[in-house]
Amino acid sequence: MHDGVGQALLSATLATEAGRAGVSAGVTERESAGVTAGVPDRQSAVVTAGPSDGSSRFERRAMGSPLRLTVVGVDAARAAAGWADVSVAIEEIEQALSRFRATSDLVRLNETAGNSADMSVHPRLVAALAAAERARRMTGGAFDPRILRDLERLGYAGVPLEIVADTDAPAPGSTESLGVAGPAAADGFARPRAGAMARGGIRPTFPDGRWLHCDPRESRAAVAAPVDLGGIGKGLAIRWAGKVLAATLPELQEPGTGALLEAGGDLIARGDAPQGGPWMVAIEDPSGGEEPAIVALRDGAICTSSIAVHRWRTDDGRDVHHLLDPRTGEPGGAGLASVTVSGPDPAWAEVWSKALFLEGAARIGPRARAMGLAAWWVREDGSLEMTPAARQRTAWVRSEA
Amino acid sequence: MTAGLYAISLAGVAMLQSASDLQLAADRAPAADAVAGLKSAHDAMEASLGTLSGAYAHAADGYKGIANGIVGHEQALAALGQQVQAAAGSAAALSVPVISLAPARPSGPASAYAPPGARMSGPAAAALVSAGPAPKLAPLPVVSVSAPVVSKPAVNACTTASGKPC
Repeated sequence: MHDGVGQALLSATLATEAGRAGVSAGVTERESAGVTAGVPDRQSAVVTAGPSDGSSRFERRAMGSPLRLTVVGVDAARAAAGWADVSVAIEEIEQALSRFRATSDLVRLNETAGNSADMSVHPRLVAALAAAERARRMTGGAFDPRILRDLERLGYAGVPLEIVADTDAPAPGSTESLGVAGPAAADGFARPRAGAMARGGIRPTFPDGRWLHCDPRESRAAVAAPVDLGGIGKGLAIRWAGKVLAATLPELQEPGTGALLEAGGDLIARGDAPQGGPWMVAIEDPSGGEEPAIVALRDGAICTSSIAVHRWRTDDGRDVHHLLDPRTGEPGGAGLASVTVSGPDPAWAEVWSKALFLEGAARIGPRARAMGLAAWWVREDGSLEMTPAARQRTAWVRSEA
Repeated sequence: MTAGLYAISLAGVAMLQSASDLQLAADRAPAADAVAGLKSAHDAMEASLGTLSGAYAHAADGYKGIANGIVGHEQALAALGQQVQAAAGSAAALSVPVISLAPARPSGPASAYAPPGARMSGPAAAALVSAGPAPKLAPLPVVSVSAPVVSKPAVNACTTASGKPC
């Protein structure tokens, strides 16, 4: 029963986003490397075809992390065509949703935050904002995109400098203009940016009590506070890119084929892995040790909320991370290092991984079990725990080896 | 003539009244049917509620029985815990040295199970020697693994937030 509830929670989709925001996948030129001619050079792909196992592999940087695609059982040229369409879709989504691109629709919208007059934005952004609002309601406020000011107050870098350099943002080193945390200190923690706000957890709304006004039909939106889509943005990007891939490569429906699309640890898989059978996805040990478990995934998504990368030290000497509890404006998830959730949809797996993380080590178990989610979590001491639904999907556990 | 006219008009009035009564009855028929239907549904609902109430009472009884059973098990567990504590205390009070056992082997003479170099000393060893030859030990059973040992599978991807390969 719980499994069913969990699947329903994870596969929940937003009616207003369905059938909208179509990707203009009008690819007219494709390079042999699988990158559309229109994609900027800085995002050129690395193709590592795997002749030994018959798979085709592609990689480039996107959304602040490596974007990888592995296609199995499909002709290499066809796989390259699929990669090209995925690249175009991701580029378009990133231009709409990224807050690290000065010209993105989200940055333009954030600049008008608080102004109730809506503005024309990309349909993808409207869909993402609507999904974020639904996630806020379904998680009881544990997920809220209006945390940007709190992130800036605490000095959140967002993405490593080398990744920021991939975007249209200023060059590495100009941290102040980016809202990027200062140079990493000797202890590995970055310093916060100047101008920190004193209070957190404040969630501005319009006079009608809502923070989002949007018109999906006209593709217009207005927000009451600056927005950071963060994890749900990446989850939606993978969801949409996966649909583009499925449309380009209908042969992926056939037996013996498969595909894995991953971006910064969040991924979707379908069909068979190169070695046959399900895809084997290792859960990261945030402390850098051997992976504590390996998950078998055939059709579905896995997303992780982790503090392994984005941690820094504030002016007042506190060690903080980027997973803020919107209700307090402060980092949450006491006692936890990472939470991984698997389900049919990457965006909702992202949402629930963060919501569960904020429960903290003391409450995550009952909460995850009650929701029927397939969830794995690594405590700060490195120990791994999981729900019964997760156990069914676990192929290997370090502690049992 | 007057009487005849009166009779005719009386008959007309009676006929009109009869027609009106028939019309009224016809008009009332659907409402009466609906009322009858509602009454029937109400009766059915009442019967369902009665059934549900019985089922609820049955479930409550079952739950109460389970709860009592749990309480009994908890009490038994508490008693067992006390016994274990007492046994542990007695074991700790013994002056027998701790002997680390060698891994169990599926076959061979019983003496082969004695760990090489394992020696007993103290009062317990003296008591063992004075008791005469050691009793013949039954061969240890073959220890089977409850679940097959699964080797670590090859990994296709990792949840690394930085995107680094596993």
